[in-house]
Amino acid sequence: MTKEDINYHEAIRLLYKIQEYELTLAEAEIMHQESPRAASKIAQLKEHITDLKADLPTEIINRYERFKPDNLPAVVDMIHGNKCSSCHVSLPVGDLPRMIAGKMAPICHTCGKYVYVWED
Amino acid sequence: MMKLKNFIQTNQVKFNLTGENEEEILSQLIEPLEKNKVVNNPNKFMQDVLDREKQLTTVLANGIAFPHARSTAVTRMAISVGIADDPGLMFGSDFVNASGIIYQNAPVKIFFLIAVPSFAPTAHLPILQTLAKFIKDEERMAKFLKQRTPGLAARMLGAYNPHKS
Repeated sequence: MTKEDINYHEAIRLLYKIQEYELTLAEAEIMHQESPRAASKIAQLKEHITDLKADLPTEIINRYERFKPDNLPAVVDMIHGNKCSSCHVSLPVGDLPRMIAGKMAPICHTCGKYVYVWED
Repeated sequence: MMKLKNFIQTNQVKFNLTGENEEEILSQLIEPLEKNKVVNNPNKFMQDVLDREKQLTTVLANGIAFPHARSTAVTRMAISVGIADDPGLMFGSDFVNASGIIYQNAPVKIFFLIAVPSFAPTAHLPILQTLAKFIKDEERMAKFLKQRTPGLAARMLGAYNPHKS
């Protein structure tokens, strides 16, 4: 399987992980600043991010990067069953099973962000 | 940066914090958040905090820690503060830097546990900035540690204006 064949659901799971690591880096900048204590862990996180990005198709990464400059998350949660947590608009109910099955790009039709459907 | 007033209630400040391990310490800090309906699943939130701690410790060199996590178990943003007696409590793993030098975590005296709802994953960054600025001033921290009641400590944190000092 090439990275272009990746299932959307798997792609969003990886994107969410990238976002988590990037948020941790943003937190580290505030908390640890130039501290040598945290330097190796921070380097490790950066490596993880690079590796994860390499596993994803370019168009998905580009879209993710496009939504980041405002420092707001590019991958957002679904809340209350079918609402995008960024714009609070409901997604079409019929699209949800297809998004969960990875057959349709999990993108909010209103704000354009990737939506992450929690499985638990 | 953001004012802390809206995120700290008096019962979310605890003196004489105790605990032999991370779980015991965190459970005391999470308890008031559960009472105040900030956290609806304490076990899930604790696990999320421990997982976040594994990514990169939140313990700073000066005996202060900012444990936190984005979690589906959190309904709104809030801070729980715990102050331990001297010499503080052991929390988090040690650092190993790129050259293999091990930096041992010092005991932690003050904990600021931040509960972050998963639907607002970046909302805590301004709070972290405010807290980081608050703890930078040694005189202010000495004064904070002298507060005799949770109410006074909560009021001091709530009154702090990061844009003024």
